[in-house]
Amino acid sequence: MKNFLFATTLVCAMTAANAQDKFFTKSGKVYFNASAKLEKVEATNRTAIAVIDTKTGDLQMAVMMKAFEFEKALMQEHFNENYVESDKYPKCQFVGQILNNSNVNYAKDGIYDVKVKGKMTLHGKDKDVEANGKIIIEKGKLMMNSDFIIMLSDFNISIPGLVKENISNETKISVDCSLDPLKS
Amino acid sequence: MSRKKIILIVFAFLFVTGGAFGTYEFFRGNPDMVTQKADFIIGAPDLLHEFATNDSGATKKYIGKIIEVKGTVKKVEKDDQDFFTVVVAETGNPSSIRCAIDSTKKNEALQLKEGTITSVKGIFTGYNKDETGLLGSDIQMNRCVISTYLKK
Repeated sequence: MKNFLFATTLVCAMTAANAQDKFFTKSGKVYFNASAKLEKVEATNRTAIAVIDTKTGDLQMAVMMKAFEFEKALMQEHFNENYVESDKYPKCQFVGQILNNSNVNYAKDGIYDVKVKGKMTLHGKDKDVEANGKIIIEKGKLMMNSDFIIMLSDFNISIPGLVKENISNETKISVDCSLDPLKS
Repeated sequence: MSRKKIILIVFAFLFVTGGAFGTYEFFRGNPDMVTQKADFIIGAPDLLHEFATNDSGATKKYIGKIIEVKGTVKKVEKDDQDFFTVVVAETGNPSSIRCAIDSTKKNEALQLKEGTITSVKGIFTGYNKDETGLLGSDIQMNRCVISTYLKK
């Protein structure tokens, strides 16, 4: 009887441990800022998907380009039709790894500095991207923040000379996600 | 009135009209979905089935269009900045329609209860196909408003 109870507890503990291996969100926030001297060009996406495998440090994100919300409708239309061509390339994806994953104790509340590296696919073009960020563990939840710069020209998104003072090629991306344990 | 004067008046008129139109277009905000007519009105099971059968065809059909979808509220999610997402799904189907509620329509989302049947209207922004089998595939809609409140 004792052995049976021990075995059952062990199986339950292992199942519970596995349930904490992955964290996910479907409402992560990604901010896009390509503001230049003459114009404020910024948008928010509140529907980013992110999955982190805490065992391997694998990090994957997917963002629908049409879900970037701008204050001005015309700017949003130009962003989709002329620049990112979201009808042709509806999604931006990132597949990468937390390089110092072993430094993050996912079972203990705390703020952990991380370095992430991976492949970003935007406008049909792949590019290696590296970024610094923070993982915050708090009461069973995982928060992930990062700010980094991308060059739109690296993804074949060209800014016409006429609007070079309105839209910056150097674009700031900010990621702010709150992830929950994925129950498999 | 001389011909020259008439031409000047016409040009001045075109300049002012063009300028007014350009200014309006530049500052035009996004339309309130409450006043917009839906391009498609469809039940959630039919929409989910359409994407499950042919997601690329369905994406091409609906992308950027206004959809009014009627279905059962599975969940109402709220993030740390008080933005709401209404998840419409059918029992036994891991896929769902995720409706990011317009930030000016939070009060309507607050009143929604799980299990009720509702109609949500918004812009289809993409389809997240789940390859892992863990997350469920999602039809994503943005700038959503709740069209009607219906009891179960």
